[in-house]
Amino acid sequence: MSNNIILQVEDLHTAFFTRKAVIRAVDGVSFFVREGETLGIVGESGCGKTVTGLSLMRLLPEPSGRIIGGKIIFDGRNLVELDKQQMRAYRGKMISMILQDPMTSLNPVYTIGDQISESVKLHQGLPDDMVEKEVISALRLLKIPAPEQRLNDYPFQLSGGMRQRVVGAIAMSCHPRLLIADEPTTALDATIQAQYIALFKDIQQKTNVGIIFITHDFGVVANMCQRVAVMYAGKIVETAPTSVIFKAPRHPYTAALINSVPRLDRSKDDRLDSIEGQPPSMANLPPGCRFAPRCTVVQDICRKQEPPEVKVGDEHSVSCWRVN
Amino acid sequence: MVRFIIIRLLQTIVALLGISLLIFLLVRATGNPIDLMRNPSSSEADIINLKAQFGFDKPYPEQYWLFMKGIVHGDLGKSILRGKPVTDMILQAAPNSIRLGLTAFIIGMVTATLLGVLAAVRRDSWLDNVVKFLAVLGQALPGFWLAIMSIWVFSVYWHILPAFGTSGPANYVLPVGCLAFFLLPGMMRLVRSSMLDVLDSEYIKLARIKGLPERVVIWKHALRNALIAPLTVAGMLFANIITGAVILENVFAWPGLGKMSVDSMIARDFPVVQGITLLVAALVLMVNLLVDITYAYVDPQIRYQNT
Amino acid sequence: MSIERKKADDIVKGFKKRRTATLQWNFLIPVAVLSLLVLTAIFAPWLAPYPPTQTSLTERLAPPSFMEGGNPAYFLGTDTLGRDILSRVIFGARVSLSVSLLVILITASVGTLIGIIAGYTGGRIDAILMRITDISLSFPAILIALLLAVILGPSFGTVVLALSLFGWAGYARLVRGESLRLRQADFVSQARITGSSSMRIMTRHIFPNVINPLIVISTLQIGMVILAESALSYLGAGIPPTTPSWGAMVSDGRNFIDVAWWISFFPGVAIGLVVLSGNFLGDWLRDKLDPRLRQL
Repeated sequence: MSNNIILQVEDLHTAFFTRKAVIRAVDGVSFFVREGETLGIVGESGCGKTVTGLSLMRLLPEPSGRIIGGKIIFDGRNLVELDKQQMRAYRGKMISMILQDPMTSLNPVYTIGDQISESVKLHQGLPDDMVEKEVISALRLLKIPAPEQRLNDYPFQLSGGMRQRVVGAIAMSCHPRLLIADEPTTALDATIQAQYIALFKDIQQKTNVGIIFITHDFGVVANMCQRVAVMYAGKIVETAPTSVIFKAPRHPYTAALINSVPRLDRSKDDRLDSIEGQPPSMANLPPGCRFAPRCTVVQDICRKQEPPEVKVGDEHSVSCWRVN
Repeated sequence: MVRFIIIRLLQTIVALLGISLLIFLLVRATGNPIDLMRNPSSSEADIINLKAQFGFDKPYPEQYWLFMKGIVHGDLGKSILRGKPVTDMILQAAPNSIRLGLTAFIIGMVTATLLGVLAAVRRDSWLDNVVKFLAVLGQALPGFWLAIMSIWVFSVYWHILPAFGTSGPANYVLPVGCLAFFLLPGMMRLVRSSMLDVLDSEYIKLARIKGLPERVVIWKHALRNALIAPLTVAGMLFANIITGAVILENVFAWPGLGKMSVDSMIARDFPVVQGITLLVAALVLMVNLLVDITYAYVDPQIRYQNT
Repeated sequence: MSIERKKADDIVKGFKKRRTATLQWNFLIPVAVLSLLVLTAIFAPWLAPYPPTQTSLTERLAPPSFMEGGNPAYFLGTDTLGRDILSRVIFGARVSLSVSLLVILITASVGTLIGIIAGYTGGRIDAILMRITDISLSFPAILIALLLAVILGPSFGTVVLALSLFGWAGYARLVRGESLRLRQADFVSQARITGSSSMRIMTRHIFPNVINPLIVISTLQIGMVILAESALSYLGAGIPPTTPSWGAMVSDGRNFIDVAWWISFFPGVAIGLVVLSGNFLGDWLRDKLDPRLRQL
């Protein structure tokens, strides 16, 4: 892991403009990713973590979704300012993404080989015989057994875990520098999950790719990520190195999330906590701190004013009135 | 795949037997079809003669056997009105129908696919609204009425297109155009909604993540999946072409099977109507068989399952 | 407040939410047109200015009253026999309405029965019934109608029979799909565990749950049946000529299109308007009752 920052997101705002309302799904989010590093973005479903990922790819559902503010600086260029053509050159080649459900994210009517070689041809401009080699090496990188035979398989002929590896192979086929993995293991069985994560750690070692790992599961974070950003209702409430956040979470939401994960190093009589209540509707946010209605240590000010972001340690900042 | 085709083929044969039996029984539903053929002046002896000639004096199972034997040998009986074999009459009129139907089918399908896809891709744009409007209107206005009105506009009012005849390319414009438009709304609507579903799918998102140009995303990744749904109703589409052709051939006095069947219906020349109905029934079943096979080809899951 | 936040706030403020319509025109207009159809059909003798079959040789091919040379006595003009087109359009509503109601009643009942049996029983019976359904769906009813017209002669009954013979298939397919889904539902399993008979489950548990889609499809079917009926009448395989029907009226004008377009024009507009209303109402009902059916 170097100190070389490849992605810097600054004050990103993304909103959905629907007939009835404007939903500000991502509301001023900032973070960065280093080469060869994994940043976890953690939060409950609907907190804006997937929308953040799609914003980085500039693939928000059209025409309702739009980036309405902020910068996404990748390799010195602000992706928000690129036109469609320019942005496309980044997708798949420089930045790639793995979607959640392997059962639906491969095109059912084309073979695995076809779907991987498509990116290779597009971005690397290789002659046909070289393309196949590249495709096979991508399948090898994802440790897919007998890659030569898999080329002519259709997605439905593979298991879920194998399909997700194929999706990984597509993502890695053009040696991207940044990979956004949106809950890639959620749809998989527990044993296959662990394999998949080990696989990606290995791939990261080999390729030095920077990874943004979007998940709702702090257990996965502990395993995979160097740093974590915790999202709640469209905002990042706490960001810190993984080792720090598990030992000393500063935001009550982070603490609650960590408490809801079963851990081996805790005694049996420690109860797992769940967080009371529901996240707020993004169309109708409470004033003040967005977590206030569910917070167990809420104060008066929390309901009135949004807490500012405070730096509390090395690469560790929190937005909570309790910290001040 | 082979097993799958054989099973479907057998089912088709059974269905064909079923339909022929249905038609056979329908024709005899009123008792004796000879009563339909007799003119007031014919004597009792004439009728017995006719009955013997057409084999109606035999018991039903034997009649059905003869009927089926005839069909297998391409013998659909004789026209009462003209005394000519029905098969010959059909062979004479069929090319006109095929020319009309096929041209309209190709034009209609290509237009419908194109408009359906573009409407889905540019959802809620002016183009989408035009497509939706056309679909709604096209499904509500009767085809024969639109055809007559187009004659009024193009032949009577503007004098730019002929309303009758089959001599030159200009004669084709109105019948083909009307038939194509008759097929358009349903297909267009189907392609549009199926395309919208596909565009919403994860694999389209993945295709975009790969950085593929929109052109490839739409016409390669989305279209092939989007066409699977309309393919399942291709059998109904064929029925639509037949319906449209019967109606429009009559509006434009087009000398095809559709006009022949209606003319024969009015003249109560039942062997001709029966022959055409049988032929179309067989065609319908063939088309359904073909659709099943094509479907299996397009969707690899089916292709592999049945090998 | 940061610059980017301000920028974002400004964009959100600039977005104008679309006004949502308070009156549901896409419901009210179709209902109005269809009610008008029913009323017209019932009160035709009182509404029509002339008996529909009254001919007048002196008033043949009179243009509509609002046109040059029009006779104020004939609002929509007259046909080749001098019959009043408005009166015939009014009486034509009777044919369209009665045929469509009867056909829908028959096809919906038969189709529902077959669909529930196929979906609930499953297995071989289902496979056979659905194969028959598929073939019926793809069979052009118009040909059977022509055949029946030859055998039985064109009549009201022939039309209804011809349109019903294959028309049940659409219902059967829909109901079968729903029953198949419902068969897995917990309340059906529950009923089976407590020992309800198949008959009871089909009538008490499955049938009530397919009523909504049935209503939607039946409404959408109004237009289809009226179109099919008018086509048969146009071809001369429908209601015999003495009864005025819209399709036959369009046909009457076919050979006089160069001198009297109004003979064909107005009955066609009547068909279009009614079918359009049926389709709109069906779409509206579908969105309200059963949005899952959008695919149809």
